[in-house]
Amino acid sequence: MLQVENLTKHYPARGRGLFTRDPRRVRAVDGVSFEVKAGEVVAVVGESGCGKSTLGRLAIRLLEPTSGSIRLGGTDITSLKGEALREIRLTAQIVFQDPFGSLNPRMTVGASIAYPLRVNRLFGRADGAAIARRVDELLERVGLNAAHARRLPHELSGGQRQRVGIARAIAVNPKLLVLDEPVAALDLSAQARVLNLFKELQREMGMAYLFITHDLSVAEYMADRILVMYAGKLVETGGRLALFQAPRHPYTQALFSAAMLRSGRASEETILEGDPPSPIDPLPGCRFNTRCPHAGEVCRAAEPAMSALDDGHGAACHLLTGKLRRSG
Amino acid sequence: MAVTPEIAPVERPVWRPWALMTRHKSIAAGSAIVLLVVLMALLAPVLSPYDPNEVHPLDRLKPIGSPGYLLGADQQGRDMLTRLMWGARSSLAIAVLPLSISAIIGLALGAIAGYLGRLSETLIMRGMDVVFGLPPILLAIAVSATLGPGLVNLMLSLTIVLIPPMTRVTYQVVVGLKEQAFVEAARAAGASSFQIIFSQILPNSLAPTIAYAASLAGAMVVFGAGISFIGLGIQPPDPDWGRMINDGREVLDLKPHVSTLPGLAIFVLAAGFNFLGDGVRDLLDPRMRQ
Amino acid sequence: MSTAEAVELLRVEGLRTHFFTRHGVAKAVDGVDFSLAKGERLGLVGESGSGKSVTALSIMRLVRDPPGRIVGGRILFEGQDLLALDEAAMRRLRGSRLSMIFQDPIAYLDPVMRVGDWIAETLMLHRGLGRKPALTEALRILRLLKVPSPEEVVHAYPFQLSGGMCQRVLIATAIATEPALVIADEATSALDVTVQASILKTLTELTETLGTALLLTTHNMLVVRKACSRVMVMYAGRVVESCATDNLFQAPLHPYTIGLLNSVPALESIGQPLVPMAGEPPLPTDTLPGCAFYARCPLRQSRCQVERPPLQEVRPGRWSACFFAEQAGRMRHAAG
Repeated sequence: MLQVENLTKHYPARGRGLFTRDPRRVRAVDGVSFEVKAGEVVAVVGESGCGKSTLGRLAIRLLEPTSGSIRLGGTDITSLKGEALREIRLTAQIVFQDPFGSLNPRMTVGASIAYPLRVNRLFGRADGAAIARRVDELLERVGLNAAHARRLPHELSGGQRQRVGIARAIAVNPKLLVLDEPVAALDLSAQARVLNLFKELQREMGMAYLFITHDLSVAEYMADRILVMYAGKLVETGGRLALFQAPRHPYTQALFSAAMLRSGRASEETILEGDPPSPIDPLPGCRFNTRCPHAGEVCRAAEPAMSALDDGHGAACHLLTGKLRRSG
Repeated sequence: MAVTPEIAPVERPVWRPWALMTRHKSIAAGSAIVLLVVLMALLAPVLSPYDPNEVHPLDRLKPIGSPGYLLGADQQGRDMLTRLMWGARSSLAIAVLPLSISAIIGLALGAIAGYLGRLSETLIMRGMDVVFGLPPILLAIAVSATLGPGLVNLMLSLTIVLIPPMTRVTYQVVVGLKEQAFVEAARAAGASSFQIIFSQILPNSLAPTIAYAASLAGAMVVFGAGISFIGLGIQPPDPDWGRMINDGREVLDLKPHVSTLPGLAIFVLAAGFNFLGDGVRDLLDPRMRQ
Repeated sequence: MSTAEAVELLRVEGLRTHFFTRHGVAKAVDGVDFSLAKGERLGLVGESGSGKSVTALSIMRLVRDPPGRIVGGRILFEGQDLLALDEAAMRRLRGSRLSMIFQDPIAYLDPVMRVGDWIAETLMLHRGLGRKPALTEALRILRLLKVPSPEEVVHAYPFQLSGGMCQRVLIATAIATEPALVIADEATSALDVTVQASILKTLTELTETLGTALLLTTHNMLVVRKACSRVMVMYAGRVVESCATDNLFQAPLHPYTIGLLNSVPALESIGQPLVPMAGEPPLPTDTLPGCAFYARCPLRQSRCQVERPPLQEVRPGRWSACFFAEQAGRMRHAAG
């Protein structure tokens, strides 16, 4: 469905001024490769600033990559432009994090959901009734009802707005849905309901999801496969269970340790000191070496490559190649 | 498993102009004043006792309250009330027309520069900087020097003066909007830049631009009167408040009403527009709602 | 874990904080009682609008008036009623015996002040130190908080620091005067989970060494689990359950707590479906004679609609505001 090869996105460190030019680059996404199969749910987990949202937007070409290649449904979309680029919106859609900002405050819910149908001319120009029927159908599909079509976004709760965002995204029957922290802004009970809605939609429509989240337990709940990102790089990938049972990268291990709910105790977990490194011109070596409890000389010198473990499980750490020994 | 319906009762705000008026006193006061002046201007041919340019040499400088001249007469014996009523027309035109036209142009230019960015942004915004650098009064003088004085040319120069600030305000709003998730959502939906400008950007930048325009109307009344006062606007004998102040200048010490009355009219209309502008700004500012 | 014999530090009785809005009176906090022992770490859990933050702000007497006002109750802190103090006395107490950490650290730091000066200012104000010793003390506190390279941090401006670092600076300010109680209002919510874990660890260690009590409000079950020995669950302005943290996760005794726990995906119960609660919480302006959770409760009986269940000790140390607490205890599936 989606194949991403060595994808990289660099930004200038500061906005381009008329006279100033900062040569430093923010490496938001740095050489990331992965694949999402048809109907598969792949979660991207990482902390703020790790580049996961950028990755999601690159994958469906809402952003232009600096280098690398993206194939969607077999066609190379890396450098599509104009009309051809707009065409992929029928295959890949996105649901945003912010249920308040992602709906036009002056458009009714119905108009927002109908928008992708109209701009892509999926119905005849004059066929308002057919569009309205489709909007009603979509509203019901996401657990709202036809009466909501006439409401404005500010009249709805956060959970309801997010459902509108979902209805808009599935309006064109996409094959791939990028979900960018879709429940992070919701209250716990709304969060659970929206997660269940995603599961249900996925089962019924057979869409593939690229589910971006900072919450490992949400990823474990939703995904078939999980990609763990740190400072613009993938550090570990693997099936949900493989990752849960045997996380291999020290960062993944710390994430799991921090996210254990029922058994968690501050005194027992692996605590990482410090903060993630600045993505501006990172130092050579492993990006995690500043916080890693096992870091050694090799980690500051060389960047670890992704080493394949069993069954699609892989991690990028010198511990796994024998170049470094586990401390403590 | 069935989807849990999320249906919460929601009150819809009802459009109640009267409640709006009582809550926003400045809108009420402003619209009352402006409406009064508009009626005066529209009904001038019906209500005014004389022709505005009708000269009565025997009744020169009649004071306020003289029989036949409710507000007195000027030094040519023209009825002050009549001239004030007719003069409202040019003041209103100057306040409203250049603003409306420049707002439309500013919206278009600002939306293009703000949303498309790149070359269009550089060309439009740097061009605006150049025009913005010209003192408005100099520009007005330049326009009337080349095209000649008169109401139309005055409005033309005001429009030129107003386009840069209007464009800038819209531009700022659009640059902010462009970062909003719903604009990105429209892009993700497959909309072209043109479609996004029309369906997402313009509807959301309309309110702040209108609010800004409304806040300038009062200043335009004063500015237009000033241009006519120095003789570059409305030409005699046509009635205009700024012109009338100038007419009364020579007799200011003896017969102050000739200058003071149009001055007062300018003040009242400008204040009315300012009240209205403040009210509209508050009303359209989403932070002021609820 | 029991702190029964410990000295009582804070006692809140019948606290009611209402907000007077155009849409009516919002009863954000409507009858909250609890006590907190010296050195105890108490978590106040609830979703947005449950009244947890308003409770915290009420104790600090920082509720914005208008529209908010504390309309009833007593807040006894070290024996004196905070609600009876005048503003000057309250101001002296804030930042010395009683301090607060907020959710958005960058917003609370002065953007044009070096963080060392910022911490030192509190010390100069409340502990009467001179500038030099205050700066040295600020450095010592940052070391205590395990801030990496504190010598550089004291010279930095807030915008040069990460969110986690800013929060550590705010914590340093909060503990600089060795207060008896630190109130942390969603203090780690904006932070990443690994940073959050490290800050929670520092916070718990620190309260243990200094004997400071901690009142922590959060919507995040994980945070309570890690940092608090006792927890109170709030819903619609009232406490619905209160017990030791372990008990809450093993065998909750209120249907709302159960609903909340069933709404959170947990790594340990992998593969289990989430069972979200139906419906929405009542509006804070609603006046309900019965239980506020009635409309969403799977155990509801007609009695619950007309009679409000009081918070009662249903088992030793286990308080629940449900007529059917024992039934609720059996209802929970064996996920934990």
